[in-house]
Amino acid sequence: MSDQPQFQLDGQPIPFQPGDTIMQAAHRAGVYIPHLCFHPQFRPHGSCRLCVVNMQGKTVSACTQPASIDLEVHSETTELRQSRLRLIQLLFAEGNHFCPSCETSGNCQLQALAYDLGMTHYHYDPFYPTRIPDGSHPELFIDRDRCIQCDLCGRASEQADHKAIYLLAGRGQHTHVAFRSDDGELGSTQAQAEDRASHVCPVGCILPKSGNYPDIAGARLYDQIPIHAQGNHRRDDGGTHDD
Amino acid sequence: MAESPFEWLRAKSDFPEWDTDLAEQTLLNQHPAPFRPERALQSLVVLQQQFGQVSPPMQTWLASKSGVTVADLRSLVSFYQFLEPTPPPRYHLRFANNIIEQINGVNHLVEQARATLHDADCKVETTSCIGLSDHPIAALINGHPITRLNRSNINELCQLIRAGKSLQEWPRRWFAVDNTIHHPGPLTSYPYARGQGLALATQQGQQWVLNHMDASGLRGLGGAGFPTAVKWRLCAEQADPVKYITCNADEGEPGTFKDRFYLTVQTDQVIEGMAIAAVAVGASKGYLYLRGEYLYLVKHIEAVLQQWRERGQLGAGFDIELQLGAGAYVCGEESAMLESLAGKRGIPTSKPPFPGQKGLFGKPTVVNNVETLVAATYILQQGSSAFRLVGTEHSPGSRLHSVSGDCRRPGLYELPQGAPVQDLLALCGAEDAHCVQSGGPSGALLLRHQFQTPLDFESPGRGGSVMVFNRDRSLWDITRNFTRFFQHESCGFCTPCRAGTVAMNHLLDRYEQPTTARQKAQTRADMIELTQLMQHTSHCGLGKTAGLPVLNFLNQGAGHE
Repeated sequence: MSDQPQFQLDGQPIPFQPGDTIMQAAHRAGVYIPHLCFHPQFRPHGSCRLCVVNMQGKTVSACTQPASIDLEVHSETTELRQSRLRLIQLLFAEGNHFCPSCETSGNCQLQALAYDLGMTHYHYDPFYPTRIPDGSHPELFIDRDRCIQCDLCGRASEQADHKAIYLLAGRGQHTHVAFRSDDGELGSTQAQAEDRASHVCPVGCILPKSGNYPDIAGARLYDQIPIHAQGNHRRDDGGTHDD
Repeated sequence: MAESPFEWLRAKSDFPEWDTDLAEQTLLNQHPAPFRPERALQSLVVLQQQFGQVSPPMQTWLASKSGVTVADLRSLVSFYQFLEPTPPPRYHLRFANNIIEQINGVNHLVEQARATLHDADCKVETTSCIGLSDHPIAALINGHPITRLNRSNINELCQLIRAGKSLQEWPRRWFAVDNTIHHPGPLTSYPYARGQGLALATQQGQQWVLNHMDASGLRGLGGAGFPTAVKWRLCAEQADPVKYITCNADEGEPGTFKDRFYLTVQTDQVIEGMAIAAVAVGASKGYLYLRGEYLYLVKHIEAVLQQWRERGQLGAGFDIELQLGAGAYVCGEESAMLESLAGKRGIPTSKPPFPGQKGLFGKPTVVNNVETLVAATYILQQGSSAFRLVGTEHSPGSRLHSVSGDCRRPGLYELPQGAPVQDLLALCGAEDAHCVQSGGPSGALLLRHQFQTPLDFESPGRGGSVMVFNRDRSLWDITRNFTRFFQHESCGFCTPCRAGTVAMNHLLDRYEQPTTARQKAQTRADMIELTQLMQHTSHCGLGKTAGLPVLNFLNQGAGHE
């Protein structure tokens, strides 16, 4: 080993670089900490809370907590797995998710993580919110029912596309993804199907209008290999985006 | 002399037609550069007060002037409850629906007002605590407070509205806010000499002030109890030459109204505290963030700030700007407040970095509660040992408690830190108290046998807000009021708070249903688990504590439903 500083994650040494968060260092070392709103190419958000870890008696989100030398971080504990399961169940209960017919089924990070955490039911009463879809764009469809408010589209649009089209609006349970156009519709923005932001959604909220359901069940991204073994991917990222 | 910038800010029931010249003039009167992007929220707040709304055409105009997109302005309007995109009714009546108002019968008044005013040009709504629970039942009419409403005067009020009487013609006594101190203490009764502490600070210099604050042991009186000197020192040590002092006057904790007193009666001490903090850390700009519910204090605070400038005590090296919130409890969380000051939605940011390292506009920033700054002024004038004369070793000094609910004299009481709850109850005439909620909804529920609990930072009953309930009150109603409050005020950023506060209310609905003992036990277990989930995994203090009322109820309240 080099003399790079390290911390311990579940007893395993993880080297880190100055400025790294726990998540960034673990990700680089190839150690999986469950997450949804984190993406290595974009600034951390810290909203989904799936990446909670224990550190010095505190529970923190790995994606926002700076790594520091000799930290003892615990991730795969029974308690944290249970917390993550409940958080995933809250995400399912608060939206309107219908995996069997969803375009993203089998390629969805929310669904894959739910399987990974052993989710068999909602546990919480479904909220059945009324959320307005947006079909104004010729090539993209927005189904807010499936949005988890992770703002990955907002960050990708700003940091990669330099368009800053997507943003979060509203408060509390009424928080929703919005678009920077005068009439508030995606079709009135400069959004394009080729944008990075059109290919970053971890769930089935930002969808192409054509070319959906390309793979039969069994051949989809997470059908054979669970998310903890291959990381957070989309079927269209060629296995590279999360590396 | 031009019209004072806030002269138009008075109780009114007629709003001018939308007019871009008037809008520009109003904004310019209020601030020299109102179209800077970070002023977007403030400009919306000012337009809301002037025109009674921030309609889509107004947003479009502000977008064109400021360069902030309409979508971003819409996202602000969708976050802050007091920004309204629709044309104003002549009367907008917002009843506080805090538990104190609720036990005094606000629901009846709302029903009565809605029934009487169904065809009047009046919108009847409820809002979270407006800092007047010592005068129940309180409401805001077009942003201005009305106190001591009851079943008889509500009729009179409704008749005035039906008759279309302008607010100027309403009885003045309805708008009276009483700031009597029922039990004074050092902070509220010493012979204050304006500017003396600041002069000493300036003369002795930064390190001396920091050491002096350290010696006082002052801890943040906003509720968290963080040592003030540590906060100031962290900010002082940062290399960045630009630093800010911010005063958190977003007093939103239900049942709290001490800041209302300080900002009205001891305004000088608040301002001086900010100026002292500026000396301690080397800041040249301060912001006072006032909750939108305290709009009626703006003219007074601005006038006092102006006096300080005229005397040359503000302006040259350090100046203070007043900014308004717009109906979002979460903005009392320090990092959310800094976001709001920067003109954004009030979403708490991740810590670290702490505000002292990277705060407002990315610069090192001190965030102090109103009362903490008043205490700093006291310490500089009277000395740190005078401050330590009362209180406990770890919680030195005294603090002002806001007492409301079932007692003969609700109001303000200054007591040494560590005074037991029972002393406060004896002073306020609460012999029949059955339980108190201390420290706000996220604080502690104390039953009669726990009334010897000290009110300090080491004990569960931290105080600040002390809501008193007698035996007739339902702990279930109290719990439901608090959990609904948290659901309404969650900023919506993180999963456990955004969805957890809603799920918690669903579980409480279920708990209320007649079910088998086994199902009830399961619901109870689910509630405890969800409370812990929120406590451990939430992004900020709001979410972390939003489940505590339920835990308090299950631990203490079973059998008192």
